[in-house]
Amino acid sequence: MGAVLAIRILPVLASSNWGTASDAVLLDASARRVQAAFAVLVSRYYKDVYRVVWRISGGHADSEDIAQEAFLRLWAKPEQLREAKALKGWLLRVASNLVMDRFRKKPLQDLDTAFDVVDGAASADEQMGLAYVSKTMDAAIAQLPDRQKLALTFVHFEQMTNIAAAAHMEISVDALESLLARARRGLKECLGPQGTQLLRAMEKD
Amino acid sequence: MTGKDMILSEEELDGLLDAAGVPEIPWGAEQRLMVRVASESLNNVVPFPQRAKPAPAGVWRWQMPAALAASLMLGIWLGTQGPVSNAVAAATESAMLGSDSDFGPAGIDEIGSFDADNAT
Repeated sequence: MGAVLAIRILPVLASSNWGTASDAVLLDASARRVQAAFAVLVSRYYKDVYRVVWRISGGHADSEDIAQEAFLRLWAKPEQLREAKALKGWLLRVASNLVMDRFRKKPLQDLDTAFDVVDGAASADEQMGLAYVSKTMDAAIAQLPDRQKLALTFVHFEQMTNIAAAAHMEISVDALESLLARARRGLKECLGPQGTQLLRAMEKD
Repeated sequence: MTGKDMILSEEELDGLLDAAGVPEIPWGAEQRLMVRVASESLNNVVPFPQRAKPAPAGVWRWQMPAALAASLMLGIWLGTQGPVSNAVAAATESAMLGSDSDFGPAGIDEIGSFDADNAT
């Protein structure tokens, strides 16, 4: 009942006058508990947050819960953000910390993609297809250390500049570049000879 | 295939990364989030304390205020009359002046001639 009501109301709320308001105005209104303003913030940033959570958690089923939790923390205290322009970075940082905290306690075990990447016994040529390449890459990324995974996600998948990604992670650009280099080297080592087989499979597909 | 051939170049790795899965946003996820926001808002409402119930209507409702008001009025009146003994003397004098008889009102003489030592 509540969900149906929200599905009907949300587009109305988001398309109200708040739709064109700046993040600063929306945050201020959210601090005054205006749900319509917060709904606009959700529609602006939810996809970004969900994608990052999904990538870092390796596509875990809890991705939606974690993305929700990040937004609920913002709703609980919108005034904790000093600058509205830092909103996206704040959300991504909170969400990625939530992922790391959750899976530090409960390691990633029930991943759909967590099959053994290093085992190249089953030829990529035989397995065929882009879907196989995609799953193999997801599993390889999932095996990277969290910080490397986050750096790779921001720069490669979210198309951020190194400067923006470093700012979001609250580290120096040099540190970010080091994380990226280690992530890429780790991926190459993880894929090993299977990498070239995956490339061939991609060309065939 | 040599060992060197097995290692991917940067461009090849980028190509494989581009082939990685792209998450689909679950249908209705934003709406579900807003439902939670709404429910959190409801849960955070602190109810104001209930107003005290008004006293029951009826005759007894005015008993105490009426007694207090009467007491106040009596106090004000006595205050304007000076000491109570003066008021009694003034009342006696006016009663005597208004009377044609040689005697004062019943009992006044007795008060003046009262001898406490002989009282039994």
